[in-house]
Amino acid sequence: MKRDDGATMRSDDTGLLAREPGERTYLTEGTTLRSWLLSTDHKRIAILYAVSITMFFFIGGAAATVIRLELFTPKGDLVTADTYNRLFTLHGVIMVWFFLVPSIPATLGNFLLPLMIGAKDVAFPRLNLMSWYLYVIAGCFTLAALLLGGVDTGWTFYTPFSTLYSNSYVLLAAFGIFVVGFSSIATGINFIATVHLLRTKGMTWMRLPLFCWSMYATSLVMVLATPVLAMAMVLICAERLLGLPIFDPRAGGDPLLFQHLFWFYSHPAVYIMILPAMGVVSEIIACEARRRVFGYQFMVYAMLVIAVIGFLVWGHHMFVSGQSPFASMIFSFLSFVIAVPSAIKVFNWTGTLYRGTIRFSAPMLYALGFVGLFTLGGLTGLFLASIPVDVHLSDTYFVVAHFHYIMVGGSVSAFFGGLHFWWPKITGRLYSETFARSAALWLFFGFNFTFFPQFILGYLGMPRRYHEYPPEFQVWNVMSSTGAVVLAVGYLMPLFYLGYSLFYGERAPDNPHQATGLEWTTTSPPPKHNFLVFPVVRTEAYAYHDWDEAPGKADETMQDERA
Amino acid sequence: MAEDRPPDARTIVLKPLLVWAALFGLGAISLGYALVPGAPLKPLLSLAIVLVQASLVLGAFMKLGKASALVRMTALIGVVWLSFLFLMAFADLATR
Amino acid sequence: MSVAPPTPMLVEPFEQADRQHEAMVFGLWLFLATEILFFGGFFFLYAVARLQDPGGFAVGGHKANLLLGTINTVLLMSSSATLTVAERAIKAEWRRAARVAIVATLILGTAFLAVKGFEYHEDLSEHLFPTVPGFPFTAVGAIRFWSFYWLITLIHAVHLTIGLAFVARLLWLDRLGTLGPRWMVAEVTTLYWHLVDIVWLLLWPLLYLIGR
Repeated sequence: MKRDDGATMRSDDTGLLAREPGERTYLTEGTTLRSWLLSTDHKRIAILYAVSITMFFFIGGAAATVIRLELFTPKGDLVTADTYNRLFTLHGVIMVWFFLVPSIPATLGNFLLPLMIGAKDVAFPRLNLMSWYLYVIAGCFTLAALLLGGVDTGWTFYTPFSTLYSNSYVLLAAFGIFVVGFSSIATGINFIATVHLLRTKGMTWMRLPLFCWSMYATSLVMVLATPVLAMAMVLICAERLLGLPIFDPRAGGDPLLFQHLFWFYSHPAVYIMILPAMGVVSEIIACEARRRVFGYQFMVYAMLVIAVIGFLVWGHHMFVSGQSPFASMIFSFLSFVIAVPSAIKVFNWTGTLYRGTIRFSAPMLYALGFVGLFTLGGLTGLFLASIPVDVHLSDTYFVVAHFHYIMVGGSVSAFFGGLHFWWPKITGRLYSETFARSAALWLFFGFNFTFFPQFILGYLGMPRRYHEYPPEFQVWNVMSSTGAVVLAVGYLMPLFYLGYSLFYGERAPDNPHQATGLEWTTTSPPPKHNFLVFPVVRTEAYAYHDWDEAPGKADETMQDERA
Repeated sequence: MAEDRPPDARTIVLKPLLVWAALFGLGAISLGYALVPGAPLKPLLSLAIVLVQASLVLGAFMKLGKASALVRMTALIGVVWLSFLFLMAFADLATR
Repeated sequence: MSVAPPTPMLVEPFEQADRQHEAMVFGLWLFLATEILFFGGFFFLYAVARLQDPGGFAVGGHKANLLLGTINTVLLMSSSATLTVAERAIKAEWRRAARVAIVATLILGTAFLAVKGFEYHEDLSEHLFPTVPGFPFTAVGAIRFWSFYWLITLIHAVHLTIGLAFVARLLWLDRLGTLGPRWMVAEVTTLYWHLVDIVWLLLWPLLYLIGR
């Protein structure tokens, strides 16, 4: 968003590169395009990623817009069934692999992880830059598939349709996904090595901010799940390109094996998308409630348990596929088990709010929205994890609503929250709090307006992935499409007021939220090597008040409360 | 990492050669057994030999024995996670 | 002769050699863990298919070229040994020995690919590709065996080619004279090479020894 403009603006009091005499930040270290494209500075790579994922977000959003327009009326009058297939495939592929997976880790994570642990950079800065280039190359392949005419398999690429029957650009898209997988593996390896080896003096494991823990858990999932997806995509390419009958039932192949491989990645990928959001929200809630995070250690263990058990539940996507009922029962049970750590987290966020001095700032509104929407998304996930209910709801709009509550209501809200929370640190500018708060509210109402009716549609039995439907479903679809307009406004607003703040926003102080955490001890924006003097950590994270003191102003009557 | 004694021809050339000879010998056993007509449990034996060969490469060539706990855990973690795939997917296939 | 390896070249963001060494080895092992899972996805499919039709697999496997496969196994084993010699010689600053060992590794690796190419040629002349006319088998196990054979040997060859590029880079660093201080690069290169070797050690019985 800001890179292109930043390079041309030079002024002493306004504009992105405005600075006090002698002040040097990572933004002023070279202003040529080359200095950005070849930079190994984790902060600049974060910006490169932010610009690219924003672009892909709007491409994916455009496809969603056409989908919602088509569903405004029961008849398939806007696009053909085939085009509709290509639209929702495009929407899914772009949003999952080119927006949600890299969204928080590659932007906020890249920017903040080294800052939060007091490091100069990530462990392998050149690998970090390479990961962005892989992302761009993969994006080109996927965009090429789209421009040539699209893919009609759905984002899941189920065989045998994708290998034997589909007459669309499956190869290009599968190759793009294969490559973007390596981009997230590179990010994951970098983050894990960074957290292990580059923590500053005194930054013990149990003093790590929860955002760092969330990045660590996410990276584990990225590193251990993505290669299996890569193999699945290679197998699809081999079957399409070379004709090797890997999954072809006529040659003894079993299409369900593809589904096993695919979901071995793609279910954990859900946690790649939601764990970072949990980290962001923990930071915001603690700061804006002026409270230590309730049950810090449980928050850490909950994230690690989610990361591990997340690998053992994939079969709940296959209840109606012909999978053995015994396996379904095990997968169902484990899916219920993974709800426990998620519930612990929701409970602890609420516990953190309790008796806090809450500021309803824009990041906090996004974070609170996250907690509510994530809870709803998570609970409807339990419906789908129980086999008898899932047999009824599978492949209906109930599923669509469920995962949009987790991914859009959850992840995207948290991403926006984090973007606002750290915006002053990243850009050195303050945005308009009034606009930001109203955007948060628009987003929340628009989101529910769009997706709550889809729960009802699914319950009534409307299947997903159809471009026309019986007229009795129209009222809910109209509601959903209208809500999408409100949601779109909520998405577009930040583009304007955040963009405005880059040039005309007030200069941000180093710690505008009075937050704890090492990233707030350096300047806004940070210098090239993050800290002028390398910090030493002497306290736990979130020292917003003494252990024997209530948050905010210490009050004698509240001292019985220990955080 | 820094070895304690000075490296000499023994550690540099002789030890890898010995390991190579062991790998070669194990491979020969595997091949010989596979060529015996009607011998029982051929796949099991050959896989067991691969396990020994892999441990030799991991231990002697990749120095896993001298590596830090962190690195050894990392070497293990891929195999553990792979076992998740086999365990859960075979739970489906075996009871279908 | 020095006791410790040469003073290493430090790369941002590291300030201590032992930290950088730990990070590089750890980072590469993380990558090897992803490789294990990548190949693991294939081995899973192989296991399922073989358990479902062991007879057909054996019939198909009988046609695999045992001689060439075994030659390749020996070549790759030897290349692992020579690369280990190279790595240790680099740390001991025996430049000449290191160079010879690296070149030997490159020759062995290239020979592997050449033999592989020759083997592919033989296979194709016997119509051993599941989609070509004249493919000699009808049993599903045999068809699946040959699908897996082509798929995994190709993937392995790609890995080996990448490995060759990295080993050739060591030779280039040696020419620049920086290989001594960058012995960590040599160390992680060998780690990757050995994993590709281990994968082949496992493929050899799975592809060539079955059905004998």
